[in-house]
Formats: sequence, structure tokens, C-alpha cells
Amino acid sequence: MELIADNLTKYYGNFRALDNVSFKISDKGCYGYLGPNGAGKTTTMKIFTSLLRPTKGNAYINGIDVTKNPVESLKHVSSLIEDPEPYSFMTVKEFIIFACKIRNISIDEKTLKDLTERLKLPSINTKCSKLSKGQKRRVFLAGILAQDSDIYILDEPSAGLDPEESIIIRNILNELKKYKLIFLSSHLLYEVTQVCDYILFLNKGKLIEQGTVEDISKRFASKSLRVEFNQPVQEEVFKNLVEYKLITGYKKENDSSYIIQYDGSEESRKKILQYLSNYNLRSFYDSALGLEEAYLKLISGE
Amino acid sequence: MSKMPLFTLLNTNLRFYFQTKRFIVILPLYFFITLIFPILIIAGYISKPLDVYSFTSEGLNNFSNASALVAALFAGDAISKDFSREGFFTLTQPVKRLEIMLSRYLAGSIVTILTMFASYFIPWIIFSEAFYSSIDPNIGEIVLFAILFNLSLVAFAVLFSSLFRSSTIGIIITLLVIYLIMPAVTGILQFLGIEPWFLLTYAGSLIGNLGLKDYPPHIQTLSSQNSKFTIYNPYVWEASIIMVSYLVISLIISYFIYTRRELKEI
Repeated sequence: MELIADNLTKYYGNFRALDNVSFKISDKGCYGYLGPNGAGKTTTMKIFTSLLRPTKGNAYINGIDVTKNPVESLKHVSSLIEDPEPYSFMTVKEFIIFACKIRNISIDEKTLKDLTERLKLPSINTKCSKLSKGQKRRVFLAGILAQDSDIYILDEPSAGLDPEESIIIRNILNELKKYKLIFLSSHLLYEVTQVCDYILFLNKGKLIEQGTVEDISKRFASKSLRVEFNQPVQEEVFKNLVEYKLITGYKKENDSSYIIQYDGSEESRKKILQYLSNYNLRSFYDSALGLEEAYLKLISGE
Repeated sequence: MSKMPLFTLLNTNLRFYFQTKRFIVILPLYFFITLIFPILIIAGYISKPLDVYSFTSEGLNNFSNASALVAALFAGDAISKDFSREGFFTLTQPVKRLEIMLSRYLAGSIVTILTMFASYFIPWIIFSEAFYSSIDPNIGEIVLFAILFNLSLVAFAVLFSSLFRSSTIGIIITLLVIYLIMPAVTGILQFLGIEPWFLLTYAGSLIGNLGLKDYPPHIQTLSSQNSKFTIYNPYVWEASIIMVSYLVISLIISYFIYTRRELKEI
């Protein structure tokens, strides 16, 4: 199970949607592909599913070049790209069976029933044209899950779904990642933290950061301190700290609580605390900025 | 991996076409239109043609236009329908685009031919038998060329569907070209005394001519008081070449476009 992007570049006319993106993800697990709208997430996924050709570079699925040999490479992959729908003239059951048949896979009644229950699908004899958006998404997901591929490429699988439907899909993904490689794009950070083990950040077509969820959260959190006082403290105190170059910035939470950014060194930390102890400091601790702030910092280029 | 994804897709596409409103409307409509002429004969509003040849030829005069309409409706969206949310499933499966395209072409052809036979040929043969106690002895040839003509028309419609992203535009442009533009160009060229040897609709006039007792000469000159008008009738070999050329060239170009087509946005 392996996906490799090797200097993937894609232009739409003069617009560069992807700029030399390279990564390698292998083995089971859920790999989040994070970035704001227009970052190039869907473009990458479309290249991996042969819906687009890269302007430069190559995409490999299990070592097979997708552009040169799409049929062979797609045998290992099932995907949900953009906002797909099952065929409207089919019933739920017919679509799931068709999804298997097209890959010469047979599906028994037990598996069909199991999928229906896990995804809380409507009656399997309902025409797909009669389903709501969320139901269509779940039926589509049932179709690709029935294909039992090694790799799942999922482009914002929870987009536009209600909370209950999102939870259903999240539970399915948490189960699936134990055995399969899931490459999942999202801008829903909560979804990513709930499902993904590893994250790749993309912004303006460039891969800017990658690592495990914990590593990235820590890396960005370790340079922040939350300081709380027993009484209100004026902002001047923190302006002074910036002037003395002990901190790089601060954010006021309330009159007696601030989050400060510094260079992360132990020496600076000691000096800051020493200075702030003059103002009736109650507590201080590493601010768990978490993934959300890491994400915002990364996309703002800080 | 499916050993025969072509047949799985063909089966799916056929089911799709048989369930469309197009099919449900066009089949009885054409059947009704076919019945008008014989019913008018039975009712005595028009006189019965002298023999089965004239009756057949009369009926087949409109065959190419009627086929064009059906082909455009059933194949004008063959490729362009990938630019829908459903296309994200089809195109991400491990199936060659050639197989996807052929399955749609074959499905469109089967539905077009079935529609034309069920609503056109079969009633006409029944009325021939009823009115003349015989059917046109050229019926075998007529049917053969009607099938070839429909196969060419559908291939041509598939070509137009590969050029457009919208199914509706694909169908409308195909209709305009084969239902209006081609017959109009044929008429203008005939009027100017030029043989329209490159037009599929010209080749299609073979089918009506085959219904006649004696195949008309290649060039016929009709003269009225002040002017002369030349009519070209395609040779059988010539019409065959035109039809086969349209079929092969259209499918090759469609395949070329389809395999290079990207799904940037829908």
C-alpha cells in the first residue's frame, strides 16, 4: 500500500494549482491532506485517480505510474472525489452490486446487509434519484467500500453532511484505517484530528509541512505559553516584553490571561517568567495551540 | 478486475436508456407517426400507392431524418454525461476509456436500431403484407443498410458528445447538424449541381431508393418550364463507403478526444 507524488505540478492555463509536490505515504493508516480551499488538494487527488494528468511529475500507486498505466494503478484504489453520486436510475442495492461487478467482485447478501447497517443506508430497493444528498454520499461510500480496495482516496468525505452522518462516516474511517491506507483531504480540522494519524499540509499548491498529528501540534504549541494572573495586568507589560525581544507576540484572552509566543528556548522561558512574577503571576503552562493554530500559522506563512 | 467490463457497462447503459423519458416518449410517438400514412389510406383520405415498392419507398423517405433524431437523443450525451457527478464513479474505475466509450456507443446504437425497427420497420412490413399481400423483396438490403446508417449516425453523435461538456448542448448540436444542417447543405449542393458525396444524409438517401422497384440512376435531371434541377442518387458502394467512413472516423476521433479529456470541474 503506497502512494507517491514525485514533483507533481499542475497548471490550469497560467494558474499553477500544484507546485512540485512530493510525498510518500505507505502502509495502513489515515493520512490527512489539509489545506484551505484552492490549495490543490482535489487536484492532487484527481491526478491519483486519473481524472487529471500532471503537467510535470508523476503519481505512483503501489509503484505503478497512474498516467502511464491508469487501469493497472486504479485496480488498487477506490475513491470519492468532489461530490459524486451513485447512478440515479439504479436502486441502492443495484449500485453497490454494480460497483463490485465492474471490478469482477461478487458481493453476498451478508456483506450487503452489513454495509447497509454500518452506513445506516435507506432501504436497498430505493431508487438513488430519490435519496437526499447525505444518503447519496453514504450509498456511494457503500459502493466503494464493497470494492474492498487496498487504498481509499477520499476528498472531503464529510462535506455537506449533517453531524449524525459525519459521525457515521468518521466511525467507518476509524475502522477502515486499521487495514487500509486512507488518503483523506479535508479542511475540517476536527475531522482530521479524530481520524488521521499523519498530516500533510498544502497551501497555494505547495506542500509546506508534514508529520504526525501529535508532532505538528507539539511543534507549534511548544513556542507558546499561557500565563494567568491573580489580578488584571495591563497590555503595556507585554508590549515591554516584545520591546525587550523576550517574546515575539502575545494575544490577550482577558484582563488576567494572555498567550505569549517566544522562541521556545529554556533560557527565554526563564527570563519571561522571572519578569512576569513581578505581576502576581498565578500560573503558566505550555499553550496547547493544537492543530487549528498550527494550520492557521502554516497557511498564513508564519 | 472484470474480465468483461465492456458487457457490464453495456448492460448498465442499456438499462439507463430504456428507463429514460426519451425512450418512453419517442417509441410510442414514432409508432404513432408511422401509423398516420397507412391510417389515412385506410380512411380513404389518400390513395394507396400502386405497388408495394412505392409504398415502401414512400415510407422510407423520412427514415434518415427520423433516425437522425433518435441517434442524437440516444448518443448526443454518450461522452458528455461524464461531466456529471456520476462521472466521478465511472472514470475512476480500472476500466479502459475505450471500453467505456464502446459500451455507450453500442448501447446508443442498440436503442436507436430497436426504436427504428419497433416503431418504423415492423409496422411498415405489417401494413405491406396487409395492403399488398407481400413485402418489398429488397427488404433484406434495406434493413442491412438501415442498420449501417444508424450505426454511422450514432458514431457521429458520439463524436459531437465528446466535444461538449454539457449533455443538453451535445444533443442539441448533434440534432442541428444531422437534422438540419446536413440536409440543408445536401439540398443546396444538389441545387448547384454538385454531388454531396461527403455527407452522411446523402448516403442515407440510399435506403429510400432501395425500396423502389428499379434503383434510380446516379444523376437525374428534372426539368420544369424555366429551369433544370439535378438530383444525385448515391451508388450503393458509394453510400456504403460514406457510412463506414463516418462510423470509423467518428469513433477514432471520439476515442482520441475522450482518452485525453480531463475532469477539471463539473
